[in-house]
Order: sequence, then structure tokens, then C-alpha cells
Amino acid sequence: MTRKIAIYGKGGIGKSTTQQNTAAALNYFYGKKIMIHGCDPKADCTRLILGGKPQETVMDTLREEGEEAVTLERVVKTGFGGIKCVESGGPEPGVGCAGRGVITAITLMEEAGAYTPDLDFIFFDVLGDVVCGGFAMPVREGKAQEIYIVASGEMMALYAANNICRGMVKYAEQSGVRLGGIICNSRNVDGEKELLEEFCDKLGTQMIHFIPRDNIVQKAEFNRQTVTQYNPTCNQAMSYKELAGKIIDNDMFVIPKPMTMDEMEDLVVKYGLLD
Amino acid sequence: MGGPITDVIHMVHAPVGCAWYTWGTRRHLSDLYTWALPGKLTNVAFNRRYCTVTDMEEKDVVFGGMKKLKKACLEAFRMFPEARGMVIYTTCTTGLIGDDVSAVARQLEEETGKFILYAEAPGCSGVSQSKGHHVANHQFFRQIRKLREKRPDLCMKEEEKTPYDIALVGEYNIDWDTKVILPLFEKMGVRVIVTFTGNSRIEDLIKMPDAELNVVHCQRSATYIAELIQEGFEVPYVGCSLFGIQQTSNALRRTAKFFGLEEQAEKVIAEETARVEKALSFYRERLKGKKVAIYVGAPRVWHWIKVMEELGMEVVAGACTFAHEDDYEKINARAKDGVLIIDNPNEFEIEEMLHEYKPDLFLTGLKEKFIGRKMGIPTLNSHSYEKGPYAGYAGFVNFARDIYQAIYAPVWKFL
Repeated sequence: MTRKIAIYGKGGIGKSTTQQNTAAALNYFYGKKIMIHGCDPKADCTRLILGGKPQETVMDTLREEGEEAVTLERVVKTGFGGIKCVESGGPEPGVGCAGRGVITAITLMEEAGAYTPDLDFIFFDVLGDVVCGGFAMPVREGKAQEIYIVASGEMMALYAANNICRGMVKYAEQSGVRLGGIICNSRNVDGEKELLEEFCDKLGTQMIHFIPRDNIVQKAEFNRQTVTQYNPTCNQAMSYKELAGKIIDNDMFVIPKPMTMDEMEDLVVKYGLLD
Repeated sequence: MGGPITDVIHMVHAPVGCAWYTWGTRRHLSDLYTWALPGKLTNVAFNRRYCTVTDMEEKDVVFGGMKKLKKACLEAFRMFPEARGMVIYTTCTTGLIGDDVSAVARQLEEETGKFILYAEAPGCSGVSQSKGHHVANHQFFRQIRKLREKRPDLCMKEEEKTPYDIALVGEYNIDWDTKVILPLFEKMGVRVIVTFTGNSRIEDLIKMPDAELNVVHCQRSATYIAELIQEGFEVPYVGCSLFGIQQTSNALRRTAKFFGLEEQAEKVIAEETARVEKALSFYRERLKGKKVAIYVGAPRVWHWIKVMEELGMEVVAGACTFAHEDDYEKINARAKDGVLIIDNPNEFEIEEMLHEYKPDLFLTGLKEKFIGRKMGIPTLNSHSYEKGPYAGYAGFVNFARDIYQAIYAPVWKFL
């Protein structure tokens, strides 16, 4: 059975990097068949897998050539390890409706039969916060069953994570979507691990993995590669391998209990006063 | 509300379905003989004949519709070069994606040199169309004020003004109501410089604040702009109803009082009343004691309670689609005890109302007429009239005639 996973998190937290590195590790170390559907209008969710090759997006194809032109041959590209990649695409910042673009792109991909049953994992990589109904599309109607939120020990990342959980709760009952855990993409903040663990505890979930900060990620990115492809034996590749393994074995799926603003503020005060 | 403006292109910025209802459904009639160009026939009722739409599709929603809007507007001007301007209307779809219609309007104004107005009042912004009227009033006022500041030549020149100028506000020229209303004011020495917006030209509308007084007929959809003009240009306004003898006479008296033309007004009232008295007495005799239910937008429910009384008829039930509290206050002040009033009824409530109160006549719209007729209750199209005009003195005779014909139609004998 295909596991459909949506990755959310604050803008700039490293969602796309984490997601692509995890996907590469799942494939390289565990032999899993994977597809990535990028849901960011910037269309930058598959760059490391495809080696920086610009991908024709679903919405661009629709706009320029009409719905009939949106075929799998046109919009699905295969990259590192045979990982299939699709990008929704969308408007320039400040115009139109990117959320509607996400809805349209996912519907078109379903109609075209892109989400084949032979896949082990499908990743939906969603822009920033859940800003409107369109960006919640991957968690509606069972399109994704598992959510992982990328966060760090910075307060704004936690606020965003909490907010995403609030959006999730709305759909949890009707679509069966569950939170699989929070991935800490470390920013080397004081007491980061403890803060994240307490935060996860309050939400009723787990910190599934703590990814240490390592420059090799940036180095690999400059080379348009995931760490696993760039140097499969380095420490960071092992860390992504560990995360991939934890996701495969994960059995803790919950409906999160988002915190109130007051509770969030208390947490800020507690960890803000550490030093 | 914008639709009756005659010499502009009405552009609905929306998926194609949103424009359907605007197309020729209301009988806000207009003449447009001034549009005749050499080699081109006069174009009567342009505003009802054509409705243009940007035809927003999925891809336009996602990528934004501003370019498409501009292209559609330029295309429409190419097709109808005689148009003096354009009014652009946003809808839910284009409101939600935040297309900057005002920016497109500015660009078009520069490129075409025509008047471009816009109404950003998407349906989702209020509980009923009334909110749309409210928003559009404010936006329209802001835009004409800006136009007047930018181009003083559009204001009425001092030598053109008279001390007896009024603007007739909230009168949409349904089935030529203005043909019977305007002469009444003119006969008593008042000049109507513009009607907002029935059968009016865009350039005349810009002159609205140059009037000495605003006379507001539809007080639901247009009191807003009268208030704004009062605040911004210190032009007072009076509300009135122009249906039936008594209300029309009061409207003339109130307007005359402002200008010191009381004597002339009484002369006009006496003359006009005498003129229609014989015809009305014929109908009064035959309509006496008949029961009426009224279901229209809002103000006509309270406008017409008095009118029915003048025909000796009795209003037993009333309902409104988008009335506000002040409409209901006016309805309650005019309605007798025991009259049923429903806010925004559904079809079953209408059926129950007709069943329980058994009116002899149901004044309503096209959608509800069938339920009435199936129950054996005659109806009149009360939005666009049957054979109008219905306003003023002469219109009242038409109204009475249509009521008489509806109630006494031979078909009811076969029930």
C-alpha cells in the first residue's frame, strides 16, 4: 500500500530540503519507490532530486496548452533513484490564487493516474503555513494520510507548527489524516531538543527525529544534490537514513491537540529565560 | 443598480455564468438616440441588449485575471467604439483572488480616454444584494468625486445651473417610470438634471452633486449615495415614494417646499389627480375589499401598502428579500394589525402564506408567480411590471388596470 505523506512547516524551515533528503534516503538505503508532488507555486520542491533541471509545471502546461496537454509524460520527471517528481506550479507572488492551483493540479494528477499503487511513498510538499483551503488540499479527502511537520527551536517555527495542527484537526475526523510527528531541523538554538520534546508532548505527538545542523547539506544543495547522492557515507546521510527508517517503522499517528496562544506564550517564557 | 446606465459597456469580471442574470432580465429601459453615428443605426437600449463578461477560467483564477480583464475591456471598446465608458463589476471569484480592478481601470482610462468606473462588491461580501448596493454606492461616490476633482470641466458649469435643479436618486426607469415621473417635477418648475441611474448617461451622473436637492425614491439601494453627497457636497436629500396619488403628491409637496414652489405643486397635483380620477374610480369600484399579498425586494412593500389602500384593497401579508430594520419599521408603521410579515421567505413559507391568508392578488416576481397561479391566485410582475409604467399619477392607472385585469381574467372562472 502506498503511504501518502504531506510535509508542512514554516516558510524557510527546510521542508523541501528535509523532504528530498528523506525521500532519497528511503530510496537509497531501503529501496522504496517514491513520488514527490511539489505544491509550492515557486516549484522548487524537486530540484535536488532532478539535479536542478527545471521542471515543466502542471499549471504552466494547463495555462499555455490547455487541460488535454497535461499528461504524465509531460509533467512527471524522473530523478535520482527513479524518484518521480511533479510540480504544481502557480502564479507569481501577489496575483491570482495559488491555493486553487494546488487543488487543480492534484485533481489533474489524480485524473491522469499519477499516483500509481506500485509506489511505496508519495510526498506532498506544501508551501509554508496552511494559508487557505487550497493548501489544505493534500490533507482533505484522504489524499495524504500522514503529516510530518518540520520545525526548529525557534519560536516562530513552533507557532507555525501549532497553527498547522489547528488546520489539521479540522480535517482529521472526516479524512482520517493523522500527525506522524515533528521533525526537528536543528538551528543550534539553546535547549532546542528539550523545547521541541516538550512542545511535541503538549501536542500529543513525538519528535520523530532530530536532524543536526551540518554544512554538508548546503554543499550538496550547491551541487544540486541530496546529501545521500552527494556523499552517502557521511554523518548527515546517516541521520537522514535514520529518519527514513523511523518513518518506515512509525506507528504513532495522532490527532494533535493544538495549544492555545496563552500556552504557547508560557512555553516561550519558560525557554526564553533559560540563560 | 449600475445596469440602467445607458451609454456604457457593462463588464462583469467573472466566470461566464455569473453574467447570465444581468443580461436583459430587468426592464430598466433607455433611449440612446444620441449614440447614432454616421452610417450606424441608433442603438436603443444598449445596456439591456449587451452584457460583456471576462469569462474567467480555471487557469485565469490561478494565475490572476487582470491581464484578461484588460484585454476583454479593450476588445469590448473595439466592438462598441460608440460607448462613452465602462462599468466593471467584480464577483466572488475575482474578489477572492484579489484582482486589482482599480489599477486596470486607471490604465484603461489613460489608454482609451473613456470613463471607467468599477464596483468591487462581490456577492460573498454580504448577506444579500443589498450589501452590494451599499458598497457600490460608496465606491461610485468616491469615483465621481475624484473625477470631478481631476476634471472640473465635467462638473456642471455655473451658467448651466438653475436654483431649481434636483437629482432623482434610486429611480431605475423600470418600464419607463421616468416618462411619467419627470414631467411632474418639470411642470411645477423643478428641473431634474440627472436620474441615478435610470436611463442616464455616465456624464450626467458625474454632475449629480451639482443639484440643489436629491429626491430619493428607492430608499434601500440609494439613500447611501444621497447621504454621501449630503456630507461631501452639502446637498440635502428627501425621501419619497412615487407610487399612488397620496404618496406622489406628498413627494411633490416635499420637493416644492424646499424650493418655495408650494403653489405650483398644488396646481400640478390638482390637475393630475383630476386627470386620473375617472379611470381610477372605475377600478376602485371593482377592486374594493380585495386582499393582497406583496413580496418584492424591500421598499415597494411599504410603498405599496398605501397604494393598495387607495384602491380600496387590503394588504394581508408582506415579505421582503433584502429589507433592513428601517424597512421593517416603515412596513410596521403602515401595516394594519394582523398583517403577516416574513423576512426572506422560502418557497414553503410563501405557499403557507398564500394558503393561510388567501389573498385575491399576489404582487411578486417571476420566480414566485407560478406557485401563486397554480393555487388560483393571480399575480403581477412587481419587479419589472406587466404593462407599465406604474409610478406617478398616470402610472397608477396602469397599475390599477393590470391589477383589475389580473383579478378579473376570465381564466379564473374555470377553476
